[in-house]
Amino acid sequence: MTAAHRKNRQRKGLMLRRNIVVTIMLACFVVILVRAYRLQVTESERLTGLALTEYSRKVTLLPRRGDIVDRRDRILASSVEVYSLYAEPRLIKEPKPIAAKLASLLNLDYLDTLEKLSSGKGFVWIKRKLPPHQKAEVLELNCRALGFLPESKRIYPNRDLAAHMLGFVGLDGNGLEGLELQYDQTLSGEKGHFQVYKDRLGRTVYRHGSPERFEYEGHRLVLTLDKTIQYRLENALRKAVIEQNATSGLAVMMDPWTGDVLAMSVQPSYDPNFFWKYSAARRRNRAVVDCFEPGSTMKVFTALLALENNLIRLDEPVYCENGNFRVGRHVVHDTHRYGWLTLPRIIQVSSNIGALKVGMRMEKAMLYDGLRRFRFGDLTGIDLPGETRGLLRGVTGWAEIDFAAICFGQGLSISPIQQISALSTIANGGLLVHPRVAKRVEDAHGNVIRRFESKPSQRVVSKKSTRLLTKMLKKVVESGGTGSSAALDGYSVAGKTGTAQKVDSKTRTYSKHTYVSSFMGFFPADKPAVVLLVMIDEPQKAVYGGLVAAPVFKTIAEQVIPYMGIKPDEVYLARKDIDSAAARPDEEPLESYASPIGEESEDPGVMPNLIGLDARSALNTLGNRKLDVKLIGSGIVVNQDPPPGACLESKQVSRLILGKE
Amino acid sequence: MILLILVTLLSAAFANVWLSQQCRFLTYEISKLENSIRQERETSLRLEVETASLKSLTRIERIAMNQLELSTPTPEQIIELP
Repeated sequence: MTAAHRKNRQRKGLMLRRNIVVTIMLACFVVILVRAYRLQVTESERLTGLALTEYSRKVTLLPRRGDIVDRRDRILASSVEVYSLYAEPRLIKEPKPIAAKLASLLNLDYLDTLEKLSSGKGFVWIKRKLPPHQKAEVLELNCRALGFLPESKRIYPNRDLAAHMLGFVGLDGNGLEGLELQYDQTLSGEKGHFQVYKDRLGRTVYRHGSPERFEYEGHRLVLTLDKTIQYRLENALRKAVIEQNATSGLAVMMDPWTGDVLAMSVQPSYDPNFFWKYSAARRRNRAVVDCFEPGSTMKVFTALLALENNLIRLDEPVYCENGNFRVGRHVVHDTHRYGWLTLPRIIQVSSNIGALKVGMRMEKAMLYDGLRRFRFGDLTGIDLPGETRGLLRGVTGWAEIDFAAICFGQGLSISPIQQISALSTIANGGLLVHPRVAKRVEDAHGNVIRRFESKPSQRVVSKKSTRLLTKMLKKVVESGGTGSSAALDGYSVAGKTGTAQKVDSKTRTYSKHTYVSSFMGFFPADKPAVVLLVMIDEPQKAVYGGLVAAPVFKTIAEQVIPYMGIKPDEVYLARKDIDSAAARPDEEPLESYASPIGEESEDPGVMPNLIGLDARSALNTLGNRKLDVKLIGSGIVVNQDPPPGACLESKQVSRLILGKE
Repeated sequence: MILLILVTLLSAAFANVWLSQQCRFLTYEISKLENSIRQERETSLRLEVETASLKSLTRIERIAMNQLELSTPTPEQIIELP
């Protein structure tokens, strides 16, 4: 073989190897290209997504439930972040020692804890909402299978104060009762989300779109309620319920001009921090969801409607049948035997027969429509859940006795909130008010989101009629009236007592042993600042509203007057000045509406007011009037016939009933 | 010329790495501060609730009556200041 031939063969071999290498490299390049194409183009989205899950994470911000505060911004309900302990039983090889430690640290049942830790599940709750010191103690165990999740815990720092209005939230933070339920959506807020990118140690290296706090957190609810007034009202009511050994009691205080509920309490109350320890009956806001027969307090509305329809004059006597009056097959009684009484006296002494005689001057439909105007049998629209309409049957269902009974407060049921709203109408001169508890909603920065304005008031009765009625109601609280225990020094009070028999569920008749005693009123009577209703259910020591509820009204009023800065009556102030200067003894009468007790009417043709005088003084007052006076009983004059202000005829028979007031 | 371009490119690359690093450190810092703010805020809320709890009228009245031996004033004892 020649050298040239050998060289030629070597070159061919080289070429072959080069071609093989090039081919292999080309093949590799093609493979890489195809792979790169698949990675970068075909599977790009899937792979990008996979990569993102490795280094990015969606963070969820749990909303903090908004605070509930009173009208002076004092906290009534708030939320704090707490931690709940969970376990991952799959990761636990020896559950017994961990269960023993957890049980002793967290006061848990050992066997229950052991069962949870041995379940082999991926996730179990061990204990929800731990106090901070317990969290620290669990962390010291340094157990990889235990972890904490943040949660929000609702706290009511004033414990049972205003509990029935506030309500409470469940374990998962949802409102279950009261305002917590009514405004659940407003208070709870929405979860906030944003994206973060993490490094290999889990530290955040970049964040995207973190929301502002006010965008996701729950709103703050500002109430019309005043914490101090609420506290004073609750204290007085609680004492009365205990003293009277009553089943329960409730009281509501309202601004008669705006419908703002200043305080509302049901006693005995409960602590919403531990709501599960109390029965559902005890947690019920009876001022809104329950209805009662109003009893004599209803006479106020009967009288008002009669006045409004010009069916009675103030000086017109009504014969009260000496305490017994037959209506169909039924006999209506009065607690005292009254003869002739004027409307103011009917209200003052709370005569059932007088009220029904006045009320029955109306047509049934007229009375029904009038009561409906006060929203009896309808919702007041208060922003609390479960409001009852009460029970006011249609006119077609009224028998004669029903018609009569409704006039003095039996045969219909109304809720306390309906009652106090209707009383506000009298206090403010005839305008219907819409009760409200929430005043405004604010975001986390304090910006007002929503304002609950007082709804425009609608006129229900004339100002003149309410003025006349107010004067009558003032008499109720004066000496000789059923509500004299509610009288305040320096402040005129207009009010009405109520003593309603309860229906015995077994016999389905009115019980002779169980009563609801109530007193409703407003003060100062001529410029009302507040209306207040007090009801005591089944008092044991006394039954009359004037003896049971009126003193509670007085106690509450005396405590809130200095706090609210309500000024005494001008007449009182003037009188005080005169007294202090030892001025003339024959001072002016406090009001010109009716003859004050015992004051002689100068007109010999008119019967003077003798109520409250002893027999001698009464006869002296009658003076030269040509009357045939008959004195019945002994003591002071408790009733008279003809009534004060009645026109006298010559040699008319006059009966003065004497007794102990 | 080529050397100048190379140096410029290298400097730009280093600057980029340095800036990314700074950015990362700052984000760590922001994260820490945000956590700290969150914790402080929680503490503040907790303290607010505790204050509200201490301001409970029942508690204040109990202390006033039992410890300080105060009593509710009668209307005559109340003097309104102008």
